[in-house]
Amino acid sequence: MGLKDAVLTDLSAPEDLSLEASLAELEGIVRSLEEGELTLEESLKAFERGVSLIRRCNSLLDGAEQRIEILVGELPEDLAR
Amino acid sequence: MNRAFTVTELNQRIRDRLTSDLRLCDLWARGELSNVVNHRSGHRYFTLKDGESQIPCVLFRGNASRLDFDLADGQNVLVFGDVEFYRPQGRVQILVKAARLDVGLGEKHQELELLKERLAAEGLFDAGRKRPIPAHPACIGVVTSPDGAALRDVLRVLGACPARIVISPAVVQGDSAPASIASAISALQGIADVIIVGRGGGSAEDLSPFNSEVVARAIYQSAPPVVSAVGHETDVTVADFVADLRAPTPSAAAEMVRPDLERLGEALAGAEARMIRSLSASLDRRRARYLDLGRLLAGRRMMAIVSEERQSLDRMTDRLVSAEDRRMELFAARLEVAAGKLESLSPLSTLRRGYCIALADSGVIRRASDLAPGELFELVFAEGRLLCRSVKEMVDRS
Repeated sequence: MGLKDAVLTDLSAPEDLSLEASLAELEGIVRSLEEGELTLEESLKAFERGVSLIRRCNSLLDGAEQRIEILVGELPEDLAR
Repeated sequence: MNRAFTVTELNQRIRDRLTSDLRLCDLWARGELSNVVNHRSGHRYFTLKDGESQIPCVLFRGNASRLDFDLADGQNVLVFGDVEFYRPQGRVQILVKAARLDVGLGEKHQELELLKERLAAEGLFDAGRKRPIPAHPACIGVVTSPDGAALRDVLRVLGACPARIVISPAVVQGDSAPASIASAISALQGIADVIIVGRGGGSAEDLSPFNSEVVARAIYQSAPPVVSAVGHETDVTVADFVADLRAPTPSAAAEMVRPDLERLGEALAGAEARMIRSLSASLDRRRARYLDLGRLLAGRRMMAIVSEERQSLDRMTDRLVSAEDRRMELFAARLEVAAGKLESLSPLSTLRRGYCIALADSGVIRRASDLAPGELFELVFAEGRLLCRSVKEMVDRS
């Protein structure tokens, strides 16, 4: 999916994207802006989207704390917090 | 002569050298027992030998009590331990931590080799099928004993990271281990983006569950890539061969799998800077283009206007010139006519026709009666003048 299409169609809300997906989309946006093939309006839209993706990633990084789950049984006492 | 070592210093040096070599610890050695001494302290001393060499061994009480057989001369055994240098007596020996009877190991070894060959032929070990470890997994799965040290090492190294950590517990020792490990890996399908498979923690553990076909296939069929932190430095298990990545320890595995947060932060800042740069560069370019176009446009317009004006000017000049020419012609014509008229009106031409002008003091004489008899007057001819005296007026006899 070219960025042109992406800019025009509905994209996932940044809060729903995983870190990996956010980064991939962000990389795509940066490349498109650098290639300079977008119209002015598309550039501005892409830039806005890029900024919200960056914010999303940063909040994921800042809010990181260790989250552990166990599939079967109970977490050992020393790990459960 | 260089400075001379004391024996203690020398032996310390040798000991330090030996203990710093990682290849000499946590190793298995195979040989025949001889000189077995079951000391009353509970410690066991014996010699391990093969056809050409031998090495002394010591097995301390604690570890000795865990043996599942009695040591006796002539037995073929496998011992697990560290090479150490007993400084007081300058003796290299093996500090044995575990031992097994080497019974039918030839067979087991054969079986293992056959299994490896078979799996390799099927392509389970192919380098080409190994998947890359995701750089930013959303969920990290860990297959290991929930009570073991491996799990705690992994958790400690992972620390606070944006990924969820999901433990899929397994029994890693004993007959039920292979099936347990395999199903623990299956349980993470569709959940984890990457899986670490690790032992419990004891270095003397039996690794054979990780040499089983069941576990090998489970790893091979895992959709998320698998990092194995199973083998020792010298013992590479089948699981290690099949895994997408092999780590020497559970901590190392965690390092490999953990998202690099610092680099990520830098990459984000970098992405932001790049976006701002390209956007403002493109805005500048556009502005410059508009200005240029504007200028170009204005220039052209001016040129067009100037060109138009010039042309009108030329046209008007032409008209002016031709109008002037016409005027001149007309003028000349009129002049000629006037000159002709003038010519005919000129008194000179009248005079040439034979007339003359009579002039007196009072002016031009038009009537004969204007002159008194005997008055002087001038007669002007076409050529020359005469001074005359009037005799008398002639009366018309009609």
